[in-house]
Amino acid sequence: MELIINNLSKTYTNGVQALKDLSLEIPKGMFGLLGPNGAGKSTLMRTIATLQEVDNGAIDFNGINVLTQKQEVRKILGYLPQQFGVYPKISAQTLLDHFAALKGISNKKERKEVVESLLHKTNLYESRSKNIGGFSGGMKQRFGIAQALIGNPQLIIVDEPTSGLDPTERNRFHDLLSEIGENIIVILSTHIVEDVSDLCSNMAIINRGELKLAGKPSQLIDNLNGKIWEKRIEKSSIHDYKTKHNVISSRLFAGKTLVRVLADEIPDSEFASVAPNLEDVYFSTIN
Amino acid sequence: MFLQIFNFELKYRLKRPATYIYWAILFFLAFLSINILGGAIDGLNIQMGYSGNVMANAPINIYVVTTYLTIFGILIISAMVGNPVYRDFEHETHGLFFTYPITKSGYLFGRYFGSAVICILVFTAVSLGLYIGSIMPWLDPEKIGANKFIYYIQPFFSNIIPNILVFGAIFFSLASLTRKILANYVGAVFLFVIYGAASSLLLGFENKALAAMLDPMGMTPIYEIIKYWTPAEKNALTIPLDGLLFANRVVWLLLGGLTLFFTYKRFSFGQFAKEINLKRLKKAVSNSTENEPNSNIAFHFTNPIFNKQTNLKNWLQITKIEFLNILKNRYFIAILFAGIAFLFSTNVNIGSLYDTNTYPVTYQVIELLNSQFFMFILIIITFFTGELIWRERGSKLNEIFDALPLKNSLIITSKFSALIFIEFFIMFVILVTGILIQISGGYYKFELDVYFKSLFLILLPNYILYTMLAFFVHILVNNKFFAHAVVIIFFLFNFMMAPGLFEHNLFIFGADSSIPYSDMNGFGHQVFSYSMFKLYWFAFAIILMLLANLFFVRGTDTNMKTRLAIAKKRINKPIAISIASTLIVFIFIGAYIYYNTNVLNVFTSRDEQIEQQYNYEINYKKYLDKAHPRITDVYIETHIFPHQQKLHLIGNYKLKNKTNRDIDTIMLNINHTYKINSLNFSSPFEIINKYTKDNFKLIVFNPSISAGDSLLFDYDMLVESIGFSALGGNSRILTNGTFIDSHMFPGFGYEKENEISDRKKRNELELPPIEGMPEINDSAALMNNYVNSDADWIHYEAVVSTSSDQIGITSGDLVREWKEGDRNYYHYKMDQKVLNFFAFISARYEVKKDKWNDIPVEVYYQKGHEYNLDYMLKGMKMSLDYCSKNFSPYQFNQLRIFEFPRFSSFVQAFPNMIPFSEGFGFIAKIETDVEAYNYPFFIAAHETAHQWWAHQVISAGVKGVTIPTEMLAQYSALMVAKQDLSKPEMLKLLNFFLYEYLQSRSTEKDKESTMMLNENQIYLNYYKSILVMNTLENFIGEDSINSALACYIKHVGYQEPPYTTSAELIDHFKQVTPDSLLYLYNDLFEKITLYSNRTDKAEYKKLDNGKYEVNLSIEAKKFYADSIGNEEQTPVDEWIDVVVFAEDAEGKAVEEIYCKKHKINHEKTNIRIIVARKPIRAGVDPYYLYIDKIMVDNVINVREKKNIE
Repeated sequence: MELIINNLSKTYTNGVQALKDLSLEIPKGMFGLLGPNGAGKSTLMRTIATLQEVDNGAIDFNGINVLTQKQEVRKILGYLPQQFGVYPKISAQTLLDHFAALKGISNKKERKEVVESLLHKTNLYESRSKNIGGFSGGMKQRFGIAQALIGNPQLIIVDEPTSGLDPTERNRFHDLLSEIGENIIVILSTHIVEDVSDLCSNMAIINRGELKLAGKPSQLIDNLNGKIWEKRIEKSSIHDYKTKHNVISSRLFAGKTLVRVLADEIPDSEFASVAPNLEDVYFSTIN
Repeated sequence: MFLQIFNFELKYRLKRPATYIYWAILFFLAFLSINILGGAIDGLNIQMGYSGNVMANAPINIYVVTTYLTIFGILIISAMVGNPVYRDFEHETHGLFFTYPITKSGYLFGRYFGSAVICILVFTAVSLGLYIGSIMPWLDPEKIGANKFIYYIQPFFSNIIPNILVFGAIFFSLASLTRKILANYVGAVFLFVIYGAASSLLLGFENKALAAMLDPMGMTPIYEIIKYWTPAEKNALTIPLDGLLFANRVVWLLLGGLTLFFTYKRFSFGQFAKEINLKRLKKAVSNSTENEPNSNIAFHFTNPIFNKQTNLKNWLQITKIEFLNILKNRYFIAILFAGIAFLFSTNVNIGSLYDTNTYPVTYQVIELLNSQFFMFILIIITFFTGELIWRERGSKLNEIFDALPLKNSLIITSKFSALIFIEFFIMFVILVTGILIQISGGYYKFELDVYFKSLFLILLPNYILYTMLAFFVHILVNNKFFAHAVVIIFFLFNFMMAPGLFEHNLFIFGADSSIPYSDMNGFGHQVFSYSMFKLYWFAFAIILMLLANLFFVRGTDTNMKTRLAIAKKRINKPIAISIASTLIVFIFIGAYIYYNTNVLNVFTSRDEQIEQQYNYEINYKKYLDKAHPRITDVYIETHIFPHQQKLHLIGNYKLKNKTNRDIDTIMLNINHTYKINSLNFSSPFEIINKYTKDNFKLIVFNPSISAGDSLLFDYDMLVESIGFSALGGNSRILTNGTFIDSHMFPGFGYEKENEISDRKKRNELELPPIEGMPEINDSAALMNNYVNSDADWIHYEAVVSTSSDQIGITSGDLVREWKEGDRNYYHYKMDQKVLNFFAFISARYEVKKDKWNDIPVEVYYQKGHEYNLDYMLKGMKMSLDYCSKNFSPYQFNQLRIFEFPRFSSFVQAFPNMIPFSEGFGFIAKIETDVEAYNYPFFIAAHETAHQWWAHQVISAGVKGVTIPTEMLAQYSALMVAKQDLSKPEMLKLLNFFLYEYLQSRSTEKDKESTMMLNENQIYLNYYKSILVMNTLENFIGEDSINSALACYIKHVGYQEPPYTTSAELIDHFKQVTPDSLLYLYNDLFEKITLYSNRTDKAEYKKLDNGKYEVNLSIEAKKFYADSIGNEEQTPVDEWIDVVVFAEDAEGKAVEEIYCKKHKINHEKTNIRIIVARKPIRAGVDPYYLYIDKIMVDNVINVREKKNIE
């Protein structure tokens, strides 16, 4: 089971080139698609989810041509878009039941079981008869994943599911995602590095429509072993460091600035070697 | 604060392109309206304002058009003034805005007045458009009068500004308080409902003041104010801003002010913060009830199944959810209830004719319901199509929804079906409403089959077609509001303009050849052609839906280029085949319809029609004065085949050259669609015109017919209905209720009625102006009676045959009746000379029989229409009695009324038979406890009197033509009614005729004649005639008039030409009139005379002898009007009734205690009268002897005079 993306290109009518000849192979399991805002993640996600046309390229999923056999894709797809609303004044249970029916679970009894198990699983069972319009952001995202899971999908796409969630809700959401079977493809697009490091066995980084890096997170981190250096500096001197060194990230810590630099050798004696993390991989790739 | 926000609003509005677009739209519409009125644009179905002798830019037209445009402009007012606070919610700027230190009043009123001011500026486009339109050089100069500034400025101030302020306040309030823009649409619908209710209330005789108050648009009071304005007054007078109009404006401005005040009270900035807090609180509660995710429960995966059944179930699922959604939508409910409320408010006047209602029979209820509901259903279709197509996108659910495994076609058809089920539901609501209306009207014959067929087989298919179109537009346009606009504009175009532009139903979306219903004929002969047209348009609409399917937006690509690419990809074999095959069906049915309407039948476009009429006049007018032989004996066999809609006509006529010259050429008029088997004269002849579409044969006799010679004329021809025609087919030859008259039979001579009558068209074609009736002393014209010039008095004999289920009727005594094969035969013969004016009828009838002096008096009617048979019989009998006693004996051996289908609505008197339309009296609801006009009785009496005043005395076709016929028939009916009605009932009747006369003359498009020289104007024939004869009878007495009439009939009855005239009749009247009253004829017959009589003051004081002295101050004015209504005051010098009323013995009503004619010869007169009892009311002319526009001020309450010491 594999999703193969070949030479995908897409330019919007306003001239923005969202995808530039992008090729990617996505294996079974949780796949993290990392990139900054505007990198083309959502365009790619929507294209895979049959919602958007591309100018060139091909996508194949187990022999299904995703770009032309849309109906076939939709039958095995679970999709949680970046943003979604719901019909006004409708309860979680009713809407989930509606989706379940439309997703081909015609048997009433079966549908009830599916809906209830999903509600339990996403911890919405208690609130099942409440109006979704009144749900908090976290509850709404959980509802979103519940609807994406209906009907045993083989391909699940979740587009920026954790942005805007508080840490508790994000953890809850991670727990949920982590339970989804290992035997299907789950594509998680995000700009939050922890989402990927916590969950994904494979990942890719895209920026400005192009693929920058792909592989297993652990391997990608290992590649940076011994190359990341950190130093505490005065806030005012950051500019000097940036011109002199390959600064991949900086952050404030107790009134001073901590800079991390990518270099094969120690840049100067006041730098200390630190263990690389996925964030370093991400920043070193996109900067 | 107010000023800042006000200024900001002004600037904001001035920067918006919409402001200028609205201005341009209004300018265009105003410009267009005045151009239509000014005769620059032809063939439009819409016209606001008055035409005829009224100038395009008459003040009333400017007023009316301005008002209509503010009514249309409600949408603009709603968008501009309704939205300024809502805007902050829509763009979610209220969070920011409301934290600024602004005052509530500054914010609300600044926004409101800022937008209102700009909106008022936008509406200057209306006045400017009208003005600039009116000075365009291409307008017909005869249609443009003086342009005065005040004409434009007055409606601007009394109408545009108040309407914008009031409607603006209502919309502003609705949108600000509900924060939903849809509330404004519903608000607008309700304003229209109130307006509609007011307009229909105005039609009744009561409640006119209420109606005028109720109308938010300020239109209804105008109509009430100008109801009697003649063309001259319409051209000269501006609307007085007092009375009803002023009250209406004040009431609505107050209401607007209250609405604003209410909004100010209810609106609060804090309200939103509070609401948000509440929501937060709720969320917090629900969050706190949660546990950690429950990992003990495993995911329950069920594999989905996709097959045909899934598709069906999904279709049902979406249809159901969308159907319930609309059904529960509060705006849907509001619109529906508005519609029902509208219905109940207007059904008061169901089938109203002369202020008398009809029974709410099913077809009438359905027609009423549909015409009232039509607009509401279109609104529902337009708006809910948008809601359905945009539902997922509107609630941002579209990405999830679009990724569901549903076919596009399934999504479209299921949503479409949901709306269709809604339409089913509405039809059902209409059915229930209809039955409720029937029950409330005391009518319990629920013809469910008529309901079912009309609602579900005739109306619903149209709504489905419109829905398909709306879906197509919404899907293709892919912008909700723009698509709404496109749909609305399309509907307006299709209903208002397309019929005028395209003429043929093949090019007017959804149109058909109409399928009228009649209780006698059912849906009859039109079912087939109706079905063909519907199939044709359904094929077209299905193609639209298939195209919509290709362009349906699924996913996030919305630009047209990508949509085109997607559409191309979506075309596969099955879709291509469906489109192609539907297209073939569409073309095939279209061709079949065309074959029927234009090949088998004749379709004449307006231009062709004009051309034919032009050629007719140019080439053949020379035959106008050419003499032709006259028919002296008629023998006709009319074989009616109702079920084939076919006639076989055989005629043997005897003709005679009654002139003293030889006749060589005649025009023989025969419709060109008739199939002529044979046509023969007993003298050698030749047909010289070869053009097959001429509706006449030009016949040359060789040798010519010598003066005094007779000859025979025979014909044998078929009238067949082949296929169907574009405009509704033959409505005279029917399955049940065939009714044909002498016009369908051959006649002679050039027919002036065929000339182009439109004045402007004649100008363009350089034809001379149309001639009116010949002058009263035109010696040639006096030789022809006005019924027809083919004959004088004839001997008449006829055989009618028809199918075995029906009876065949014509004038005469039945001499033989027999069956042959499966057909019924009837042989009729007249033993009396009659006019060449006959009719044939065939139908299945019930008969109600009665006798008057051994003469059978009968009504032949459709089963179920028993309501007014007794009134009709009574009218006939009383009239027979009155006329035979007072004028001359009744000349025939029976008198019968025959009902015929409602496709035409009239009653006409033929010799001894009176065809009476189904829609005209048979279902009238005569309530004996209400003083309603009992027109079945009155008309029966009138038509019976025609047996004298037409069938014994016939006038020449010159000016004054209807005085010896219609006027005398009305007089006879009035005298008959007087015997039957109480005095209050009589007064009510006279009031009705006065209203009808004054109202009709005000809409005269050509000119009003005097009675003496009338040219067959309906309002003179039927309304003024009554008033004039009532006055004459009051002055010279019934006996004198009747003796004059008896003498007159003796003198001119059955006379050969020259025929009698109005002058001769008046001379007879004058002979029985004392010299002192001869002046009456001048005012009543030779002039158009109007009075303004009123009682200014009425006081009494008790005298010492126990009697009462009444002092009256009377004002009396007299006017002579010209033919377009210019009035000139003339000194009053009349005998006018002065009356005093007191309480009657029971103290319940008033009774006359004094009535005497006083000579009034000053504008102001004081009169002192002594009466024995305490007076209550007093005044002048209470009995409608003088034509007076305002009768209510004639008699007023009498007050006791306070002694001032």
